Parts: sequence; C-alpha cells; structure tokens
Amino acid sequence: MEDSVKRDQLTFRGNRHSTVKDTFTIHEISLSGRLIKEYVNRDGIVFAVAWRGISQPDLAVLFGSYYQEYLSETSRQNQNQRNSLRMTKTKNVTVERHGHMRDIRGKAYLSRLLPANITPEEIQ
Amino acid sequence: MPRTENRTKKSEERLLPAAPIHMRFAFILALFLSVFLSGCFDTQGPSSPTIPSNSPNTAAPFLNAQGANVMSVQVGGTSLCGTYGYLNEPCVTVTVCVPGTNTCQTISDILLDTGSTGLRVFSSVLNLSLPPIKDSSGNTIAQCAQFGTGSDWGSLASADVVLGNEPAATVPIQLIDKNLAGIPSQCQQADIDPRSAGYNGILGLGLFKEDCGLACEQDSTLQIYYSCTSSTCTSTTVQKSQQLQNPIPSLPTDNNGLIVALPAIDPQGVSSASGVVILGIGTNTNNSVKNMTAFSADDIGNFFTSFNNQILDGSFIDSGSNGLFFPNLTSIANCDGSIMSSDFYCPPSTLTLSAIPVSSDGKSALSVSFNIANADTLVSNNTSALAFANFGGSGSSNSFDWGLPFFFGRAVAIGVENTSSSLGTGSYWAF
Repeated sequence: MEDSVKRDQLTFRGNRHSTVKDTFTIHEISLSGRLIKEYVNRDGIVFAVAWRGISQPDLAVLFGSYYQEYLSETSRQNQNQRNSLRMTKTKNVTVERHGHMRDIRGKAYLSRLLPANITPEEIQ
Repeated sequence: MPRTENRTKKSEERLLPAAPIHMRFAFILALFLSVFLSGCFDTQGPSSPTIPSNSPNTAAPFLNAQGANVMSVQVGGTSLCGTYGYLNEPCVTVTVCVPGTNTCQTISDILLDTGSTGLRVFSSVLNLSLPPIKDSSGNTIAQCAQFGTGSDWGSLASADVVLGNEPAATVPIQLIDKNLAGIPSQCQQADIDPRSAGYNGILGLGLFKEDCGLACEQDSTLQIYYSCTSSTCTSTTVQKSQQLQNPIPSLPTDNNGLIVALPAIDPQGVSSASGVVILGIGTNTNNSVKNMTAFSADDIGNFFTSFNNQILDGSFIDSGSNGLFFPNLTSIANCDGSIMSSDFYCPPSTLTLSAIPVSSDGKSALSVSFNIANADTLVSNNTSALAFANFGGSGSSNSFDWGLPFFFGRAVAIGVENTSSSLGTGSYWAF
C-alpha cells in the first residue's frame, strides 16, 4: 500500500521522489549507492518494485507479505540447479535478479495487478 | 535483521553519489553514442557499417599455452561442477595455503567468475586453519557477498592463494558458511553447500582489485561487510586491504590481468570443454595480445552495447553468467518453463543476431555476431551436454550480459584497474 512506501523509505533511510503516470505512480527511494523504485497503482497497491546499486536492498522489507512465498520457491529451485536462478515465479510474484558485483539489479512484480499500460520490461 | 544505524542526517554527508547520478551520466553518454553509431550507419549504409567485426575463433592460438602463468579451466565434465553444477559453468583448481607456510590444500571445482573479485571457498571443504581477519575491536569481519543472482555469507581469513604455478599471493578470502551466526536478511538465500551450489568456491578474477573498493571504506550502511561478535553482526566499513582481493595484482609479474580462452564448440552442445586462463596480459610469450581491441569499463564494471538500435548502458562481460542475457527487443519466443526456466529463449529455429559492444569512453566498437538456439531443444536433444555456445535469455532492460557463450572460440582479456599493458590502462576488456 501507499503507506508501505513511506515505511520503506524510513526503513531504508532514503530520500523519496515520486513521478505520477497515467495509471500508476513511481516512488524512487535513493540511498547511497543504491536506488529503489516502487510502483503504486491507483488503488494505492504496490504492484512492482525494482532496485539497482552496489548492494541488494533487504527483500524481506521490500516484498512484505510476499517474501515467504519467494523464499520457499527459491529453496525449491535450489534443488534443481541446472537452470540459473535469475527468475523466480511464485503463485503471485515474479522476481528477476541481474547484474554483477558492484551493480546489483532486480525487480519483482505482481502479474495479476500489472496495469494495462506497463509491461514487465518497463519495470527497471 | 541487524540494522543498528542510528543516524539522523547522514544522507547529507554521504561521499558516494546516489545511483541516479551515475545513471544520468550514462544516459547522456548513451545519447551521444546513439548519434555516433547511427551516423556511422547513415553514411555507409546498413550493409557496410564502419564498425569492424570481431574475427571468429581467436581462442585457438592460446589453447595450448604452457607455463607457470597458465591454469586450465573446464566447463562440464564429471567432477562436482559438471555433476551438480549448472549449464555453462567454468571451473578451475586453486591451491590455498596457511600464509607463509607450506601447509596447503588444493581445491578443485572453483567457479571462474570474471564478474566478481576474490576467492571464496566453502569452509566445509577447507581443512586448513587460516588466520581470521579482525577489525580494530577484535571482532571478526564477515561478508554478505552479492552477485547478479546469488550471495555468499561467511567470515574473512588471510590465505596464500596459488594460481597455476605462480608464487603465492597473500590475500583475504571468504570462508563460505551459511551457518555462521549473525547472518543478515540479505543473505537468507546464500549458498548452502558445495553440492547445492554446484561448486566448492568462487574465484573472482574481474576488473577490480577489491570486491567492493572505496564505497565499503566510506559507507557503513551498505550491508556488504559486517563486524561480528559471537552472536550478532553489524554492517561496517572495511579498508580496502582487508576486503576480498583479486590475487592477480599481488603477483610479482603477470599482475595486470588475465586472458580466458575457451575452444569453439559444437552448436548442439558438448559434455565438456577445456580451455585456459593465462595470467598477465602481454607479460610473456604466451599472452601476447597484438590483435585485440580494448574496451574500457566504467567504475562499476560496465560498458555499452548497441543492440537493435538501442544503447544498453549497463552491459558487461561475465564468465559467471551462464548465457547471453539481453532485453527481448526483437520478440524472441521465451521458453514455456517446462524444461528451462521461462527467462531463457526458445525460438522455433536458431537465430543469428549481432550486437555492438562499445567501450565506456566511446572510443572502441566492434560488431559481434552470436546465435540463439532453442534452449529447451538443446538440452532435450543432447542430455549429456553441459556446455552450449548459443544459449541465452531475457535480461535486465538496459543491459547486455555477455556471459559464458561469448567466451567459446574467443580469447578475452580482462585488464585490472590501474594496471597497464600494451592494450591500455585498466579497467578494460579486450577481445
């Protein structure tokens, strides 16, 4: 929810900048060496997050109630390593992790709640 | 999670730029480059661009290299990396010693990762007692090392690291141990053991001298390095000399980088492929680089790639990425997730594509041709294959990740920051 963006800003101790689009708002939380974006729809629900920087933000904070299903899916993936772990799909959330040491990137989105005028590729 | 910072106005005192400043700079340079590159095509016509092409199979002259500065690297095979690892995973053998002694252990199945820095070994495979690295309060220093897709948790220790038959380099290494007390939330998915990780450790021979560098000297909030008591760990600053180090700059000679050369392989995939890591660039008869083009990298280890008329500003070359990962700008079919995960590409027939790596200073550009085959078909038709040259998937929106397939049939030099060779001053890649 919109309130959770403020809470994350406080938790991460970052500065916030918001950009209003047609059907959603992007809140950017910047902290040293890192940038976090939270995408909020008109109902005030965070439907996507993205991050980039020298280290990964705490996904437990960023994913909130979706964190546990993400964790259990990654531990299931760990049993079959033939694939890479770049993409993790749970019932609700798709998580992608990219980049390299010193430039860690990732994003997560709720496919079901993605507004019509934004594609997963545009979340970055 | 152990967040113990109690700062009020630290944000104004930050020495590091926030991420947006770097991205804004990259955006301006990207605009400049797009004009530069499209100009080339406009004047010459798309059939004869002025961007030269990278010649095929540049690896061959290096593959039989001999000498103290040569290590062999294997993709696939039947050891731990081949048996339990992932597809396209290059591994080497490293010897680790108690500093200043002949008490050593040779450890095989270490992932060769040109996208990270420093040696990390599972503490469970190490039989040596290495001196721990401690901070000024006597607390152990630990790290949550973060890579593109994974992480490692564990404490730091000092070790003599022997690469090939070079003299030992005394550097801090990480002892990977997810059970080490005080693990932060960021490392909850850290590697557990060699079998589930598919390697005994990671050897990061990348562009940088330290894995984190100045940022971790200055900023205690990055949650990369931690100061640990017996039960809790707190994010802390660590001076460069105590951070994980690339062992190459500590060598007496052959200390300006490395060349990785892997053979060209069958497009259907092979069960194993053997190549070489040659330490040093132009320091020896076996690592001459007269036909290579150098591409400077920026301070976080990126350069540009022009692909489908878009400039991807966060691009990089990385032996630790197991495919070519790039944004799906040409509507390539993704796999359905039944065999390979759905971020991999599964076109109905093999695609031949090209992209143009461009140096971070905009001075070098080369057109590189590559193939993307159907990943599901590749792994189903050749179930014993562990190395594939035409293997790729969707990646980050503004990035071309030139992973291991780029290395097959190609010699790639990695020039370490602030060192020089006939190719220039690092950090750079050359091929």
